[in-house]
Amino acid sequence: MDVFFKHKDIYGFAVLAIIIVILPVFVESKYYFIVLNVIGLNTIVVVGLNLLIGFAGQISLGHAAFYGLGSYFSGILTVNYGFPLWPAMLVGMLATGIIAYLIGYPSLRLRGHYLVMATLGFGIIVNILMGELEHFTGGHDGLIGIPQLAIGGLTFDNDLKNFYLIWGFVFLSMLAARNLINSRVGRALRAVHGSETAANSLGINTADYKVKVFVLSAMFASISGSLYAHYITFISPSSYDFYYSIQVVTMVIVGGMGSLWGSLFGAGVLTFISEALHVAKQYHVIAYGVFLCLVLVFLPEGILVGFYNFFLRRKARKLIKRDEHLNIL
Amino acid sequence: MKKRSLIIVAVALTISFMLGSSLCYSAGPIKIAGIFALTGRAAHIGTSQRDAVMLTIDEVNQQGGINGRMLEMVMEDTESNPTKAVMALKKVLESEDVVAIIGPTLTGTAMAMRGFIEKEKIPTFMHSGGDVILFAPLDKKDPKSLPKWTFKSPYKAADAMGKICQYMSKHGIKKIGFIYSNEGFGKDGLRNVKVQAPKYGVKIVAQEAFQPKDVDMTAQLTRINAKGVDGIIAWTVGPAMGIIAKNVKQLGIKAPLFECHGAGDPIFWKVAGEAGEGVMMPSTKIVVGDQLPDSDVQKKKIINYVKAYQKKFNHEPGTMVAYGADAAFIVVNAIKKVGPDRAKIRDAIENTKGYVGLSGIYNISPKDHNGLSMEDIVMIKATKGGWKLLQ
Repeated sequence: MDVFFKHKDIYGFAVLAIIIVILPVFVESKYYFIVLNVIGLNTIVVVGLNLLIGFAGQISLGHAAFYGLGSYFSGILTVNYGFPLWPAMLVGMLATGIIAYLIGYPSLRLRGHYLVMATLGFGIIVNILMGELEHFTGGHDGLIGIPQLAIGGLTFDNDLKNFYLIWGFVFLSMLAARNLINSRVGRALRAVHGSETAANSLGINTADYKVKVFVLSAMFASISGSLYAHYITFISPSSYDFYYSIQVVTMVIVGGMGSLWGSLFGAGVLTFISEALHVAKQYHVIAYGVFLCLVLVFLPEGILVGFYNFFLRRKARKLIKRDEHLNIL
Repeated sequence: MKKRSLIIVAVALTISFMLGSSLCYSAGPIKIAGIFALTGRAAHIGTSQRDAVMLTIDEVNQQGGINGRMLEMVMEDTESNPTKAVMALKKVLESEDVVAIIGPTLTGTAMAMRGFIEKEKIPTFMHSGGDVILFAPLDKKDPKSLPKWTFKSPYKAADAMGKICQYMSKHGIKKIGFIYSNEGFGKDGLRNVKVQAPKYGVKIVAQEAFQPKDVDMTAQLTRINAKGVDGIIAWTVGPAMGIIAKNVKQLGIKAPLFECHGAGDPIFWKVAGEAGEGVMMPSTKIVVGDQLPDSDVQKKKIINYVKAYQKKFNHEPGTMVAYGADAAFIVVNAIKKVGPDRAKIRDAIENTKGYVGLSGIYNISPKDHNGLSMEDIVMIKATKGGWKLLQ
């Protein structure tokens, strides 16, 4: 409980919880709910990926695969083998973690960006397997009839119920990420990100921490994938292609690397904008590209972090101006 | 006294408001949603389907709409992505007065939308090629749980394959090689050819796969040719259609080449160039309308539609255009018959009998939500940048 209240950002979590609880009062449309739910699903993936990118300084281009593994483990176990829902999700999460460990262990021992290559290849292989292992996955026609999640007698069978379910998980995953960042492990990770050599000299096993964070971020993606499968009740390989991996990396960058709230912001803004730009008919793809370019050129640290730094600088400049006559600068 | 007059005024106002609003309501447009792959990997198919649908809707509106009410299309883009397709579906359902949906383009997006369509109870006429959207049960445990609200306008892929095999057996082609792209569409073709070929006494002696983005298939074709085949079927869409045609010519393979039912499109000539000459394929009659015998009931309709299409878009329609136009026509006819009511429109579509469309004659029934048969498909041959009807 000590860690819990020590930091100011706990107020942020209180506000988030209140917003999640009362938002459905103001939203009536099913369409906005599905947009919010997709934002929620993306946020869980992005929070995990941001731990990897922002704290361990490693990029993964294979998160679509981990997201897909969650979906397919949940889907295959429940549809083909009649597994109970929640244990299937747990099995998916653990199996994805083990697979991530097997990829991360060799590639993160090397210096440099070998993880990018490993995950890039892995993502494409998994996507092909989804289509080829027809007997299990239903092939390119997809896996149909995935049951909806349920607790006791409550089935999550509409957009509103799924909203509470998905955003409940968003809240928990953000809280977990925050506690991790503020713990001994988090401090070690930041040290690794700052300077790997310095961290090493202080007795931090850098490779070990990087692998752990990679496994954790894969598990986050897997949970999100399971929720997606049970929400849409149909999965097919095209939802987990290379493009999705790129999309989540973009969300991390646009929101702000290493910023927890930036993850939520990045997933929210990009999901929302790509929908809102549909008013531009088929030109929405171009508009989206222009938007991303503008962000990367003018706010390279990400929108949230960028604006925050901008205001910090302005405040600093004001202070300097105020104190100029004192001639101490 | 004063109070009573106030009440009268209030009542009169209320009545006039009610009348006014109901009048406004009946004069407002009838909304139909179009959900297509306008961007993403299937954009070239989605946009031409959208054009075909819009042409039909504009035509109805020029003739004064339905009972004085205009038709309004609400367009949404699936980006060729299943999740986005479900989002688009929910978006169009926001408006209570959308009475039917036309689209989507890709089988994957259709499969994702299917469950939600059944739940929301809105009649949907799809353009997707895969037969699974009609025949895969909604609940795996109950094989009878077939979709009630979903229809599809393109003829069944199994029938297209059957048509090729029928043509082959008629022309003495006995041993064939099958080459397919290693993804959903190609694999569906492989399943179909294994069922259809034996029916017509055609033997598959070689089967080869390639990746959808491969740029050379000479290796696979050489292996097929070595088996001494008298015919080759290639099952793929996109640039690979052209590459295979070119490779066959380069290798000097004498066996005739057959391609899939998506090839009968101007795009085929763009990707195949001169090598396209002589390739045969099943198609809707729309690309060979003027060559049909005068006794063909579809002829007049096809010629008129093609004229209108050329006038508006300045190019020849491809085989896919027919699917979009037919779906729109059938939905509009259903609305004309029963008015803008989702459940009644569904029943009217399901009872469409003997409707003469561009793709064929639709006999839709509760058991068959497509309604076309093998008789509606024709075999065509690519000749001099155009198409020749085969007998």
